[in-house]
Amino acid sequence: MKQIILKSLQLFLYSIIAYIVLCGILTLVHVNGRTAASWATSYMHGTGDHEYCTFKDLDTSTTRYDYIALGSSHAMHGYDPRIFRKSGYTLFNFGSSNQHSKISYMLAKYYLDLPEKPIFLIDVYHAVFQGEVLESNFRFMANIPDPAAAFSLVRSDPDLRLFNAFATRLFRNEKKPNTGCYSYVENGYCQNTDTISNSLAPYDPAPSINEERIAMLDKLLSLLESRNCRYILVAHPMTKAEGFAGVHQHFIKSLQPVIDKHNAVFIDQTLETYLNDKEHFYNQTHMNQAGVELYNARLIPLLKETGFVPKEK
Amino acid sequence: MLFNSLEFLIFFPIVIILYYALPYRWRWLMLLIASYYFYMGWEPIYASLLFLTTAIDYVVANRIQRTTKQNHRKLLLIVSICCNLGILFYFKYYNFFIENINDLAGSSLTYTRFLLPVGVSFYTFQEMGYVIDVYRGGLKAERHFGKFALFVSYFPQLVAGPIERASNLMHQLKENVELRYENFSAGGKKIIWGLFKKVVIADNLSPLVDQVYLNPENYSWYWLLIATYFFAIQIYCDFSGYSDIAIGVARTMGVRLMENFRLPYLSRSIREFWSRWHISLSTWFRDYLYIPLGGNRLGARRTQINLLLVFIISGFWHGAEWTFIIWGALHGLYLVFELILSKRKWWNTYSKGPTSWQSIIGTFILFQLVSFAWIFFRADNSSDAFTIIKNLFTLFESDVAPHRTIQWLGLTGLSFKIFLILSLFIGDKWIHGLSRGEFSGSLIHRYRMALYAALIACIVFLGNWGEVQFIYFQF
Repeated sequence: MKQIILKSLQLFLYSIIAYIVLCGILTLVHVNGRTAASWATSYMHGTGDHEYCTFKDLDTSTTRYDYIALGSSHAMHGYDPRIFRKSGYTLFNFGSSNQHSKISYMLAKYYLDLPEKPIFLIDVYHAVFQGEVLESNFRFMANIPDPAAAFSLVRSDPDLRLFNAFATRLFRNEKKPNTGCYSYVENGYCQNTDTISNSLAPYDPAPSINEERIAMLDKLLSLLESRNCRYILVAHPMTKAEGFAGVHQHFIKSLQPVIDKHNAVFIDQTLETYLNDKEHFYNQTHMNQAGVELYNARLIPLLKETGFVPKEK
Repeated sequence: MLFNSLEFLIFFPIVIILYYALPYRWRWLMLLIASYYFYMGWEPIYASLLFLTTAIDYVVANRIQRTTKQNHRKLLLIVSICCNLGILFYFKYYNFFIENINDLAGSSLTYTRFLLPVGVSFYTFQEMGYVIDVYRGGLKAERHFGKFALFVSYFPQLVAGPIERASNLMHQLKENVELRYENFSAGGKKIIWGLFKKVVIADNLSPLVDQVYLNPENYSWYWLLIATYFFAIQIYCDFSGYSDIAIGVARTMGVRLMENFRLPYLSRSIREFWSRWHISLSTWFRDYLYIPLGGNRLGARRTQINLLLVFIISGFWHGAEWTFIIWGALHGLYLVFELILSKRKWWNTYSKGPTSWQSIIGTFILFQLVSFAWIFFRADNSSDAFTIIKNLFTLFESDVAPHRTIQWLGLTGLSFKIFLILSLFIGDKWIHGLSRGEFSGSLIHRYRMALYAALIACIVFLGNWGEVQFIYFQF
């Protein structure tokens, strides 16, 4: 018995040392501009990309924001601060690839407790309420400046891969990012001017919705309420791919209890038809700049109509 | 419950602690409860199916033992085989037959909507082997129902083998095992190496394989070849990894399960390959099907037919798809061809003592043949398999644009995967050597603790910890 315990402890200790050495080597060695860790794993994300620029912009900004947008890449590519500025409002876009409600909650908790109490535009999209979506966790883990917030990601989603991503932060050179912010414009917004070249794929009629993600949205809304922050749920326009209407209705049905519980206002533009698939989208689900201009021009009056404008303006 | 899951990480130590803490007379009961709990992690209702087959085979085996009339004994054996194969047929093959009947006759017979119970092919075969052994008189029927139920449901090997023989497992499950460092050490090493093969190698190769095989018509020969070679490695690491973990887990409880793989890709002939690949299944087919069919005792032609038949059935055992049948038939044909070659003098010289170069060439050819057959095993349907084969030999220009993810994998990602495969061959040699007590006095032996610590670090850091199943669970 004694021998088993002693040898197990010895192996445990050796394994920790081996882990630290491996983690250090794979983080410090770069191949073709990327860390060896990101080549060796399918999930590891180096610093850089739009999340890096987003945090940098927010940290250095002195602007008092009227609106904060949260949500997936559809939010990141869907709410243009320049269009809002023309209407006299300031907006910071905190959308990010595959950002689900747990991440939005974490961002709101750690980063967006702003003194000016902005209005939160929470973009909801069915795909980030489904299954295992960890991309945003890894992107934030790589770029989030606050180590406590990074560690809270590990705690909130117990997953070995997230722990590994956290460990690589300890070895990283924070001064320069691995990749640039290619489509980044400003205040968290990314722009794309391409148009669709492929045909649209049909949808699975009844996607399974992750109840935990719905519960996290509920928690996010409660957090914002406790801070006296106003919020509005929004759903961006989509292409008219076969079967999507059913998917969206199924999703909204799953969301309805949370909307009812918080008496939340929901502007749903998903099935609106004023955008053209070929001209206003750069792929099946994301609007291009031409689409965003039309969408935002329609959204801002709707925000005014529903009373979701800054009180002083 | 998967071996590479957090649930198992909690379940396994609890079972081990209880196993050694409990008095000997209660251990079987604790293991039986643990095994059913382990199995119910998938679809609890199917535990009743496991119980039903256990009860039938328990009763039948005991009746066979008590009956002296040969006709009665034979009838009881037929009852047991029909029950086991009937369950297997209904849950695994019914829809396949309905689909083919509907296609051929234009009928619209309804399909069954039951899910395939995990491990059903493994435990029904294990039970059939037991009843046949009792019928043949080589084994005494187990009188204690609980202990027999434990033999059927023993959790380390329940869902994906090795398919154990009662003569090897039953008596071990009854032994009063003492807590010994040697068992923990040997078992732990097996578990670590098995996990490394599964989560680091197999699961890191699977995204590329899955992507290419999902739409094979989009890829040129280069990617099809890489994906096929990768699949050959993936399936070996996936399945042998599972077997190693199962053997390791059982060993920590003092039970020695049979080895299921012995470096099969280093074989020099198909015959040798099948003596090293999925050993528990190939010996099962040899003992309970090939030999009763006459084996090689009824002349050359009959031997060839027997071989073909056994391998077609073996292919069908893997899955209710034509692709698996073709895969089995291909291996059967390889063996028949090898049998014809064995009459040549040069083949006998080669198989008895090849030179180093002959060994290398033989191993290389074997890997090509086995990989070629894997195309049918992995493809979603036979049409995809033939597309892959056609494109492998005709689509030389890379005029078909690889998918973005494939481009993203690029040369560096690919180099890493090739590095993993090399580590497999070196690691397999070392681990097998170490477990056989080789390398004593060498650096590997002296620093083996550091080697296993490095493997653990790789498992944690490089493992693909997403939702990746073991391939053989579907069988």
